Amino acid sequence: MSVLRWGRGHIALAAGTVSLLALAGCGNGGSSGGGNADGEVGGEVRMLVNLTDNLDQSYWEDLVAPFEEATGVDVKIEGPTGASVAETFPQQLAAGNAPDVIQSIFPDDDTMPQLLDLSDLPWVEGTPMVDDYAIDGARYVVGIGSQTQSLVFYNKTAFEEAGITETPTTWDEFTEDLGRLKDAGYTPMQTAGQFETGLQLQQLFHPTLNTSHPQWQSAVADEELSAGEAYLPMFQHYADWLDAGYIAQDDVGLDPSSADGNFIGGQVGVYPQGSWFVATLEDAGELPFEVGVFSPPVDAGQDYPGPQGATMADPYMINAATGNMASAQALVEYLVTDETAIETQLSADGVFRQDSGVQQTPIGEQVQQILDEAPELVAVGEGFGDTRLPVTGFNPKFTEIVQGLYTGQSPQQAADALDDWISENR
Amino acid sequence: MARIMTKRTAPRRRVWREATVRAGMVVPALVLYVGLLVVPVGYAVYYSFTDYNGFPNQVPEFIGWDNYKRVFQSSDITDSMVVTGTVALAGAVLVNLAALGLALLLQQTNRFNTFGRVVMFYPHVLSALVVGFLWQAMLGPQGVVNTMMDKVGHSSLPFLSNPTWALWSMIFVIAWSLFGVQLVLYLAGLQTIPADLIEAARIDGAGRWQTFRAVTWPALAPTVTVAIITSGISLLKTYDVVVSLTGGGPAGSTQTLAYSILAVSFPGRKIGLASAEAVVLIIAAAVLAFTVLALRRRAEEGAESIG
Amino acid sequence: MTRSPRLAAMVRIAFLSVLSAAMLIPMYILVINAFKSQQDILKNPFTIDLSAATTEYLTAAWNNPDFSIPKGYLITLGLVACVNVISIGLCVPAAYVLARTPKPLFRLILMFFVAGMFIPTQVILIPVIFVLRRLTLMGTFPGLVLFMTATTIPFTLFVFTGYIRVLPRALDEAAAIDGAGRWYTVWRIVFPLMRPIVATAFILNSLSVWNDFASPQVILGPGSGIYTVTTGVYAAVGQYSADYTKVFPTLLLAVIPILIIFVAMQRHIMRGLAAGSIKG
Repeated sequence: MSVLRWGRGHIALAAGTVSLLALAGCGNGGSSGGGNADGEVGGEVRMLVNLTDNLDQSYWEDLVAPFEEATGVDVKIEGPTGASVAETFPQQLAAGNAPDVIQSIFPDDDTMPQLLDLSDLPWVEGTPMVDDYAIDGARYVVGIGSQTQSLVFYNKTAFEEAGITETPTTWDEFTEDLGRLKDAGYTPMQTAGQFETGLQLQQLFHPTLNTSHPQWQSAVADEELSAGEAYLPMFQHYADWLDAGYIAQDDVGLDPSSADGNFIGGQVGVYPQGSWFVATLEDAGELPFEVGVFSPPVDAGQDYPGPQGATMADPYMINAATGNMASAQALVEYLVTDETAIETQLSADGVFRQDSGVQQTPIGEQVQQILDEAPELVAVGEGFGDTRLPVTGFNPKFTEIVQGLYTGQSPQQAADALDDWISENR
Repeated sequence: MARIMTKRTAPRRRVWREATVRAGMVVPALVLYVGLLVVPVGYAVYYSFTDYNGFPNQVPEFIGWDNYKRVFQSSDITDSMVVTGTVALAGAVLVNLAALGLALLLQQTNRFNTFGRVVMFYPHVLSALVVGFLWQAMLGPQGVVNTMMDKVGHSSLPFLSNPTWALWSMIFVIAWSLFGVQLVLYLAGLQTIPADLIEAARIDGAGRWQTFRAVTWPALAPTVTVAIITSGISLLKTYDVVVSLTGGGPAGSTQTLAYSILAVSFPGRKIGLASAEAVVLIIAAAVLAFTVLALRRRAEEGAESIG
Repeated sequence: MTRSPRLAAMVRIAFLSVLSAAMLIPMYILVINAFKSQQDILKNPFTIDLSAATTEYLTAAWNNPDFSIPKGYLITLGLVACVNVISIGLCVPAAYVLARTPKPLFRLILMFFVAGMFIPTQVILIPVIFVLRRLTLMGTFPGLVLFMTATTIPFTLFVFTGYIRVLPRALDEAAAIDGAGRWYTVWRIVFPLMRPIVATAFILNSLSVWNDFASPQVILGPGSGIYTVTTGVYAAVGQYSADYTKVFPTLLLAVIPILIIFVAMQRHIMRGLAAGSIKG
């Protein structure tokens, strides 16, 4: 009976859904043994999401509106009370009021036991990057595409004025180009404060790092590699650029959206960013210059382009202790399989997905090309799936360490701080 | 014997009833206080000796003094202790200097001074969080102040982007929002000084500064001690301003202990470590508190011996 | 010194005027920039072109679905009222007993309460979560009220006890002879005499409840749908601190009502604070 009901609700929303998937979902609804066999779709589902400039409350409301209409489920969108979902979710688990669906973060050793193992759900099969993120074969998180992390956006007009004809492929060339941009009167490279300081350095370094130390996160976990040593060359580049005035020390107090604004305003040469910046550029409308994008340089002697850092886009996880299992599953299934839902998410945040029908902007096409040419997609930050650091909270700590470079710490001090922190928290 | 017994039971019953009434008056307050303030402190002490991520399915694991070792060995946490100490000390001095100075200037009651008091006090009712956001918009690299300086041809200043600047900017903002409260305390303290004492000093030919040193300052001393240390204690738990003004940055340079507990260790699922930090802060506050009481007693004894 | 009192007075007034103006500059910037576009703010943060002024952003901030200002105010004022009623309701009788019973046990209880004044409340919030979770009050308004009331008890009780001690004992003894019960004595005879100190406690507790951010942030969490002015401002502004068209209007709307209340009540607030500080 309940299976039928679930199926009916599902078909009602199938307007935009690939019908094959829907059928598979119905057929398996009863046998999966999970919550949807005994629960009914309806009631309220709480979903914790990250709110950003372009993904604000109304965006999320609109995204789930068709689902709510079709199923009668009331989806409550909740923003984090802390700095982000990553900080808020563990607090909520401790407080005993965790949401049903969690967006934007990935499972780790602590949270895994609290999350629903999605492995046996039929619609999970074939979603983007799902197996990259599986831990010991168990899938806890599903998403809708990949976000390319290692991109360098640049101002073509500035490059022309600085006399740069080709984008750099090695760090020496890159540094030289920054010098020319500076001489031409531009801010050579824009960086920013908050979470972005550490993120940008990682983004620039993924190709080199993953060529020199493939699966470096695992190597650190197995104590075969020191993370500080691995990052030291990039810390050194940053220190040199700061000394040379290619990066402004003040950036460390700059809001990331102001940094976006500076690049869009045309005073900036290069701007390391992830693929979501494509969406920001699109929202900005007509720009006074032409934007290009290239894959970050690598060390001399390494193959260019190097591996691309990539993350699952719009990851969703389900709280294993949810009181409304059927609806939580139906919601996540809708978010990752419904065509309209996918399209909305793809275009909102610069997400890339193979064979998607979404029309790309010229800059989006360039990003797609970089993605296609990359020899490999690699884990970023703390890592994913089975390629993970033995710690949590890597990104905030890493940002703090990189900010130290801006405020007078030496590259060696930064590397030591990183190693100390990892050994303390291992 | 029997007669005596009966004589005693009557008042005993009354005493008993009286005791119940008394208990009924104290117990509700006691229960709430113990349940939500003392028990949590007990929990904090307990968790501080365990490794615990706070999730319902995990059992705290006893690890002895490890968390305390980390509190004093991890440079992140010792740095935040230094920040907390600097904020408490420098903040208390700054707040009290400003408050005392202005109290002397504003002590007469007239319209202008009333206006002055209101203006000095108003930041406190905005709440520290709002104050932090407001000053963030003023002092950021592309904030109001730097835009103005740019316009007049001055290069911008790293109010929030250099560790030293950021810490002192934060202390300034805290002082800006807090000194109004201490100002009111000092005004009240000044009113308790008998006017004829000051009058007498004036008649004796003492100048303003001499009068202050000989009459006002000694009479105000207890107020000053208490004000400095109470403001120090409230500054020890600085958290809201950090959240809205600097987010603990740059490079962790404005992370206070309270911020480290609530925004770093807790989200990092280190309940044990966060609890150890909390216990350390509670002990620091207690030490300060005993200092207040001791100094105050000494000041009072001093005052009595003069009287 | 006394030779030029007029000059000294003028210097004093000039100094205070300049300082007052400096104190008000952030307010001025807040007000004018709430009516301007981002570009305008970045270009001319210190002046306003009245012809280009717009209430568009204020309207947007008012209609923000994350943070309804009337709702935030209603909840915060409710919180202030509940905390004060419970705190005063519990502390008056307790302080009466503690002040009027000269036994070592009661002195000890008083000291036990007073020790709580020095617990930095924000840092014990994490264990408070576990207590409230056990009481199933986590994420609820009553849970927040109870915790915040508990934090006000030590101070309130301390100043109340001090105040009652100096009230003449003859009053309640007379009441006792007339056959009045303890409760009657407390509320009908002692309480009316405590007005000044109750006012002080009320003001101080209200200010601390009003200004608190950490407690509602942790106890209410995102799931409850309840927010105070501070947590609402954080939700509305925290992620968008570079978008000045969100920051200034939201902050302005959030501070106007409390500033009006403050200015209207300033005489009582200042007097109440002063009264308490002399005693405390």
